[in-house]
Amino acid sequence: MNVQCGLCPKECVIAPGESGECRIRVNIDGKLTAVTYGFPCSVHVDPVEKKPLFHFLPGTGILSLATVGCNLHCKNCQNWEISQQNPEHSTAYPLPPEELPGVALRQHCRSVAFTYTDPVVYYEYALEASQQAHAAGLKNVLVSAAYINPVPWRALCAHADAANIDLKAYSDEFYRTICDATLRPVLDALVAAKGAGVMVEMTNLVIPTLNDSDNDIRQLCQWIRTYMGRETPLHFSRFFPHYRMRNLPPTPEKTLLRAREIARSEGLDFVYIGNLISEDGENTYCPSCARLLVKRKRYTVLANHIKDGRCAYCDREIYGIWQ
Amino acid sequence: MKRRTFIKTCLAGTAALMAGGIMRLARRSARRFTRACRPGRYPGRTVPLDTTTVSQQGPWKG
Repeated sequence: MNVQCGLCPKECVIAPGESGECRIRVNIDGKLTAVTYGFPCSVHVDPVEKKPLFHFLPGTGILSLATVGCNLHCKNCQNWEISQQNPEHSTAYPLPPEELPGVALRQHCRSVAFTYTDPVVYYEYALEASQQAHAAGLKNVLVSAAYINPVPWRALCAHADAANIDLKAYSDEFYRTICDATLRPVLDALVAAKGAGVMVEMTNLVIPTLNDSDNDIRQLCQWIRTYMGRETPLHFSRFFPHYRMRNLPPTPEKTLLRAREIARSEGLDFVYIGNLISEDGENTYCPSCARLLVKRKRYTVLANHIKDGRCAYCDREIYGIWQ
Repeated sequence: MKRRTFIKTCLAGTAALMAGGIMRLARRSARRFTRACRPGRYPGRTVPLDTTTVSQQGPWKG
């Protein structure tokens, strides 16, 4: 008997013994089974700045994990070795959700990140593990492309404290041709996450010739300002040739600087540049008094002038989870 | 309004309401979400979690 997966907008109809597009949701004896549930392929302690999250417990380590598989098939995927991997050909660690908080606490982490591939596809595992993490006093982070249906997304957001969500481009054509997905569900999920009280930061990977025009950047920033709020941190990330997109050069530095200027001119308060060593691309400045609040170099916090979630100079509240 | 026109209007209205209701129900049932089951075993290879590896920074983006 076929089963239909209702997790993401692809809503795959899966024949017995077959998997959905994500490779990991399998029809076993007429039952939809998440074969990576409790079996992450990667478990590491990362600096939280690597997610990237710049407004969440700066300078702390975060237990980061993923299973193989992804419901998107982006031609430029940076983690394609695991995201496009079949579980049968992979190696995993048995780590039931109830054991996850213990691992995080032994590593002196205050939070857990469901990241690297996409927590959408290992949904049930991420949901159960985040419940367990909350019960142990840990915070939860989702790093996702948010290509998911509204009902499961709301349930996952109920146990998430922060998220970095990719908005790959403000273009349905881009999503269709590059990612094998569509734009609308991602926009809806972004608004829903913010509405659910999740501290959302966003990432846009700027790819030469595909989503790097002034108009592309401006439209994306206008949407963020209107629907997510000007306080939403935006990370412009530098593209490097990967996977099935090795024909394009890395994003020039001047393109990223221009993107940041456009975002600022559109009224966004916190705009960052990632994947590029720059003088001030990773620093946080106060939107009111313009003083330097957090100085960062790659994943290291060199100075932090945010006190109790407020600017130490002018007392303005700064969006984020700071302790 | 003639009796025939009145009946036609009533029928058209009822049909429209029913169609709307059916479409709404269909949409709601399509969005119903059932969680996937936990597997009996992993289809690939498994190895014990190594604390030394865990404490190192991940090689992946994000």
